[in-house]
Amino acid sequence: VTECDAVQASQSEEWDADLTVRVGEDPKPRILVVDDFAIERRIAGRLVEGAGFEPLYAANGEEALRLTEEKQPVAILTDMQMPGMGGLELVEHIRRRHPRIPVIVMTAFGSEQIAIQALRAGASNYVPKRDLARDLPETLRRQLELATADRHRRQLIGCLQGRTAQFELGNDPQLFAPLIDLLLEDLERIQFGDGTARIRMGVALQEALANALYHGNLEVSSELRQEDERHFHELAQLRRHQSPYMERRIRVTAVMDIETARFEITDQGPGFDTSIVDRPIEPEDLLRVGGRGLLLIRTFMDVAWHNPRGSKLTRVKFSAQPAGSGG
Amino acid sequence: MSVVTADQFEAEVARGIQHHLEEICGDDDGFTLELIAALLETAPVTLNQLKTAIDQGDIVAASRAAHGLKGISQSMGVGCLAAAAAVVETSARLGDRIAAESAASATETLWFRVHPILEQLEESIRMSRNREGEVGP
Repeated sequence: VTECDAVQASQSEEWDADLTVRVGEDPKPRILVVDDFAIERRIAGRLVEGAGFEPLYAANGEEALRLTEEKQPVAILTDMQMPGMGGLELVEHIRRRHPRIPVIVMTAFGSEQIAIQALRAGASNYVPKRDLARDLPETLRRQLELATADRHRRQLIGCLQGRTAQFELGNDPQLFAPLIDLLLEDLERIQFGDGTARIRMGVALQEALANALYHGNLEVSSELRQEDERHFHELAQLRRHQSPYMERRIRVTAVMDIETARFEITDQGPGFDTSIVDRPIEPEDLLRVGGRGLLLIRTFMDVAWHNPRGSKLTRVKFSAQPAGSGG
Repeated sequence: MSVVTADQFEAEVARGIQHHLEEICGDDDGFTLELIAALLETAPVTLNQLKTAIDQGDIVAASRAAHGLKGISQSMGVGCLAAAAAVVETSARLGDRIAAESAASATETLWFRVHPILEQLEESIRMSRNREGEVGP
């Protein structure tokens, strides 16, 4: 069993069930047909069969939800107006609970407004009932192609073993959150750590970036922050548009694999005496406004934890201040 | 201005249904017969629900029944019946009980004309199958 296989095998149950249907011993992919009229279900079901799928049937939204949980269809084809849970509500439920299952709505003429509502609520396509025979098979095939492409993309992502990324940012703190999101997404794809570990890394990255910006590039002392938070931010804002501060950049290098994530954040400020912060963490550090960032970085990043998929001890090293640089 | 005679109307409706069912059922006469039988069974039930709802002043139920009739008619290629049911549905949805009642009556009259067309179609398919059965292996 390769690493890639193991990663795939750990995907969600929904995904596993889906794969079984798609690549198992040749069962046809299932399409759930939802309509309160038996005659409509039969017609749609026949067209579904003709297109190479296995139809499942439900007479209302509630039954459709139950069958979706049990049988994991690859797509749902639904009428809009039904007693009990109607098509619109069904679309909303499926979008929340099974976002990867596309819902195609069948519309009678005069129901265009409801179809638009359904599309806005998350339906992926619609087919007019009068053109069902002409349009449904092709719509199903196209829909399945898209869903398959999405599944293959997820399979590929499941095989991702590592990623290296480099960014060079100006002194704009608005880019920090999206950058961290991006990095955490990659970590999640690699299955690095658990959710909590990743959030703690995000907090540490946020602090590291803020340090690089305010104390590194803009040279605003944390002592100023101790005195008055407002003065700190006013000076920072002013320096963002003044030389030499405004020309400075923050470089972020992330090297991530399943065992180690290393982030290097380099500012272009003059640097500072690392011995000030390179000491054991004291309880009073928690009360200080300035210096809190480094404390969080050291607490959250210099940690050892076990990989959830095995017993391998993983060490996360954080390098906030490469040689000759401050931050 | 052209005038559509009763015969022309029936022929047109029959052609529409046949063409539509061919698209759905292909050569599968058994399935075609099943669908025709289902419509012959379902449409009167839905029409009754519609009439009852209108009699009881339940405009929501009337709209729902009309919507159902519209859907099954459309799915079977009976465009004229679907259009008539759509008028009932819209009238009911707008809360116009008198218009809904009148449109429901017109829809029922139309159904009485569509019904024998479906029966004739059913009969001709059966006869055709029987003939094929006689000459077949």
